[in-house]
Parts: sequence; C-alpha cells; structure tokens
Amino acid sequence: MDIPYTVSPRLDTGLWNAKLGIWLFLASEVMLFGALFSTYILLRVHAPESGVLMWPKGSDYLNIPIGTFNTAVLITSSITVILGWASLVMKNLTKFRWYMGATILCGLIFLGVKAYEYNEKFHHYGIFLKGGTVVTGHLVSEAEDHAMLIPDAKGDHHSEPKRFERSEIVRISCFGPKYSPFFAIYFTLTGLHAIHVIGGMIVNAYLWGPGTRMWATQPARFTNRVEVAGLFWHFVDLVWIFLFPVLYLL
Amino acid sequence: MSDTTDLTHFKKHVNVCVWIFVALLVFTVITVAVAQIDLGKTRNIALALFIATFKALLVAAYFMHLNAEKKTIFMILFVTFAFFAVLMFLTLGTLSDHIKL
Repeated sequence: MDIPYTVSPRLDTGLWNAKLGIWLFLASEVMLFGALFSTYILLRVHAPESGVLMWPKGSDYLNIPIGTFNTAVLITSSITVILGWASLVMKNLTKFRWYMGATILCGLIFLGVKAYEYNEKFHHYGIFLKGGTVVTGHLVSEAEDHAMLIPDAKGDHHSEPKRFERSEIVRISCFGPKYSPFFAIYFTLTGLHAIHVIGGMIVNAYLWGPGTRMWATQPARFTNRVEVAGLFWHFVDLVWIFLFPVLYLL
Repeated sequence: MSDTTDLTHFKKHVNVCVWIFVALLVFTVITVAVAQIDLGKTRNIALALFIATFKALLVAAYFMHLNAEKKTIFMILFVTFAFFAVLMFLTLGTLSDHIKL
C-alpha cells in the first residue's frame, strides 16, 4: 500500500506529511532550546555582582574571531543546502551532490573548530584561593601538598610557573562545566547544539550518499526529503545565531 | 501558470536567498563590531539581541520559506511561541524578587 501525501499536499492542511512532521518537530525543538535559554537568563540575572562567580563577559573566556568564523561557516552551510535543494527542483542531481557535499564539509569544519575550542577550555585551569581570588593559567603539576601553575600572561609579560600550597587552595578546576555557572550553561547549550549539528550531518550524508537511490524512482519525494532536512539544518543555524552573541559577545 | 513562469519565479527566489546569505554575513560582522562599543550593559544586550532576532527572521522567512507558507504551519508556530514567551517571562518574573520590587 502506498503512503498518501508523501508528495502531494492534503487538501485540509495544504501540507505533505514530512513538511507537517518537521514543523511539529521544530516546534518541540523551540521549547527544548527555549528551556535552556530560560535557564541562561535565570543564572545570569541571579549571578552575584562581584566575586569569582560574577557573570563574565563571554569574550573574557571565549575567542570572538573563532566564534565569528564558525558563525560564517554555519551561515554558508545554510545557503549551500538551499542551492542543493534548488538544484534538485531544476532536475540536476550532480549539482545537488556538490552543494550537499559542501554543506556536510561546513558541518565538519564547524565541529572541528568547536572541538578545538572545547579542548582549549579543558586544558586551561583556575585555582580558587582562600580569600576569594582565582588565578588562571596552565596547570603544570598537581601534588598532594601543592600545585604548580603558569599564570596567564598579561600584555607582553611572560609568566613563570608559580607554586600554590594546598593549604591556601579551595579548589582547582579546568574551564569545564564545573568551573562556573557560565561554563555550565555554555557547555550545555553548545553541546546540545553540536549534537544537533551531528544529527543533521548524518541525515545530510545519507541524502548525499545512499539516499539518492530514490531520485531514480521518486524524484519529487526525494526533493521533499531534502527540503525537510534543509529546514532542520536552517533551524540549527537559527539557534546558533542567538547562541553566538549571547555566549561570546555579551 | 506555466512551468517556465514557475521556474523563473523559483530562480528569483533562489537569487534572493543568495542576497540574504550576504546580508547575514554582513549582520554578523555588525553584531561583533557593535559589541566592542560600550553603550552600557543593557543597551549592548538589547542591540545584540535585536540584530540576532532580525537575522533569525531573515532565515525563517527566506531560507525556511515562511514568507510563503501554509496557515497550518503558522498555527503551530503561534502556539509554540506563546508557550516560549511564557517560559521567558516566567524566568524574568524572578527579577522582581531579585531587585526586591
């Protein structure tokens, strides 16, 4: 039995199945990310106005040029996915493959840059001292009675390793989620977003590779599939459009 | 409408999308540039979110074709954004406790 409305729209909704399905899914995604943005606001508004847990400016910890580059990469992938879909509408499978390939490549670049950023954070440390100060830098060694850290350089000044006695240390943490509420929400939001990028790339890779078999028998249905995958990909781009200023710039 | 007219219209839509792509890149640069200017915390936040919302609307309207979509989708989105707004304002409501209003 053939499934109805895979290509032609239903008369009552004016939509074919997958179009209705993806928009319902995206609606649930808005609520998922909405809950986390709401958490971000709550954490930020209630952060202390001074001290080590004060809400930082994103650029104090995150690299703006790298974030800007990744934003451009994701926006570029959005246009390539449209051009891929447009190629199918104009009956050109070869062009579709090139554009979809470029979309997947952009996704890989985005994730590669994100992995680099994450790696840097996990290798950068803060030593929280009694009295409420924090010294940040690269941890050289950690022993039972002391820790050695090369503090972050200020200006042209090159820092020498510094010894901290265990008795004066409250805690030592890398710039991971447990470092501060800012990093907790940063990793939660960007991590969830990265999972969405991976999910979108898997679907795009399927449509670029084995999925194209459908083109020979049901070209209109295949074109619809690509359109729906594109809608998800644009949503991923749209979320990043908010994540970038909220986390990196403000 | 003939297929040729449809195709011409479609090609125009794709061309518009390419210009939207250029606009999105330009607005990304503008977002970064204005964030470097100290307008005061509230103004900086408001401006950055305003530009981000404008960019998101461009993506939704042109890339996601919402400028020519069916009523059913707008009904779904209306309900979604009503709940989304409640979610945001419930959180912001805690501000009144925070600043002891």
